[in-house]
Amino acid sequence: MNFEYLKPMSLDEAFKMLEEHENAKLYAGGTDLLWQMRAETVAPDYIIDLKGVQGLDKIKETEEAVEIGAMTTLRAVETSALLLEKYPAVSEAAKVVASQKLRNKATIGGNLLQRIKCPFYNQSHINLFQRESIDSCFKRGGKKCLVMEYGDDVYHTITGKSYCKAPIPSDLAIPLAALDASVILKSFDGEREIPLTELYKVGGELSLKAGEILVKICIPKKGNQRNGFAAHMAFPGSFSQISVAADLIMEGNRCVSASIYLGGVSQKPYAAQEVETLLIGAEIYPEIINGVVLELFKDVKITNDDVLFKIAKARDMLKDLLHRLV
Amino acid sequence: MSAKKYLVKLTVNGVPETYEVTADELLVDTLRNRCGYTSVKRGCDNGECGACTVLMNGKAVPSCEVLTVEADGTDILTLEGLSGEELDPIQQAFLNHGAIQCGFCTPGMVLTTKALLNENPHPSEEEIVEALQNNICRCTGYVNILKAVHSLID
Repeated sequence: MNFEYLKPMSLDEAFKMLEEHENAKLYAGGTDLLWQMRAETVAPDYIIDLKGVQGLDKIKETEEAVEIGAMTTLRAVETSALLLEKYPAVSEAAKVVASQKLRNKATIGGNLLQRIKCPFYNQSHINLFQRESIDSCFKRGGKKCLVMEYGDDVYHTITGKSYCKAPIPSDLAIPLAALDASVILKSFDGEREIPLTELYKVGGELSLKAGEILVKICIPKKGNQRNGFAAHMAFPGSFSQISVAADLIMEGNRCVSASIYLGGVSQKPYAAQEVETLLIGAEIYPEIINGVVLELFKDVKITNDDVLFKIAKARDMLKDLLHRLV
Repeated sequence: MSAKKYLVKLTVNGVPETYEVTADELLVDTLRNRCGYTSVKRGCDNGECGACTVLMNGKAVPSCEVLTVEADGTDILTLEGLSGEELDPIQQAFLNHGAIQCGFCTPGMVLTTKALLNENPHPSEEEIVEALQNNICRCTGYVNILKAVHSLID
């Protein structure tokens, strides 16, 4: 691999470097970029290490929000006392990503912006775990989506219209979507704030413009929010197959607001509106929860055992999570 | 035309040195080939097996996921830096409890334990297993390794 390493000391310097060098990639913890380079899905000529820019790695509370700097390591997000108290869903999600040692390096911004992890897409002769063994996927010069040819399996989407069946790979995006988080993107031209969910387009692409850097994630404070997260994976440390996050605001036994998102099932965080509408305004008892989760993915066609597994498992996980929160 | 070289200052096991490396050199290779610290092993090149674990500024990181240029100015600890006149208590505990067979995973296990106990001197069973989660051992079955770590907690 042949590239040059640049380390800006300020965001303005980083913007200049991004503009000067066309084939440059931003480097935060580096754990995803190195993966992409080994999978040969990117080949940057320049790497711009953001660790020299001060102030991007703090977790801060203001009157209206809790702000997490994009360069905060996942380990810091996992152990943050502030997040564990107010937004445990975010810390719980950080805890399932990879392993402690990788979380010492990986950043929350990098996790949100990571590349899709579909094993067919990531085949390469360097990558030991997703070895090059069949035709390339259509995104890499091949003729078709190999999931369509070989059938659904637990690592792909079960809903959502897209020509690409790779699910959103970020675990942190799910609880942040449930918490209605927004992200701040900065560039030479200024800054813009968009809802986190708008960061993701169908097809596994991101809606970042060229020259933009994700600097901060803002979680708006809405009062007494009961939130939590759960994920299912083949073994600890592997990519999660299904994840679920919920944020409930209760008045006594009555649910005033419910926000439920799932990961591993769609190209973007999946909003479980079919369940949310049944919860909002209702008095929540255990029997209600047991009944309401059966609405989840009611309209998804069960084409094979893997899809059936995902739907059943998602309903189970959502049920346990709602019981835990209420 | 050769690739651009960078001057990187690493303090490894207390010894500051400057190396001239290309941008794509990994810390695991620098430590093994330039510094001669072969206790740092290459296992998976993916950050998942724990064999290449080193302590960088006190935090356990997989050195196969660190570019040497990125580690400029940091303090690195490998297993060679742990023992002085006597073995470190962690090393002694591993010996006492039969926690070593082929020894390939041992440097990673010992350094991860060191980072864990530095951060949390009284970890619970769950916290120990979580810290050692991605240190993979093919020989011992982990039982004696956990016994060794337990024996270090009073």
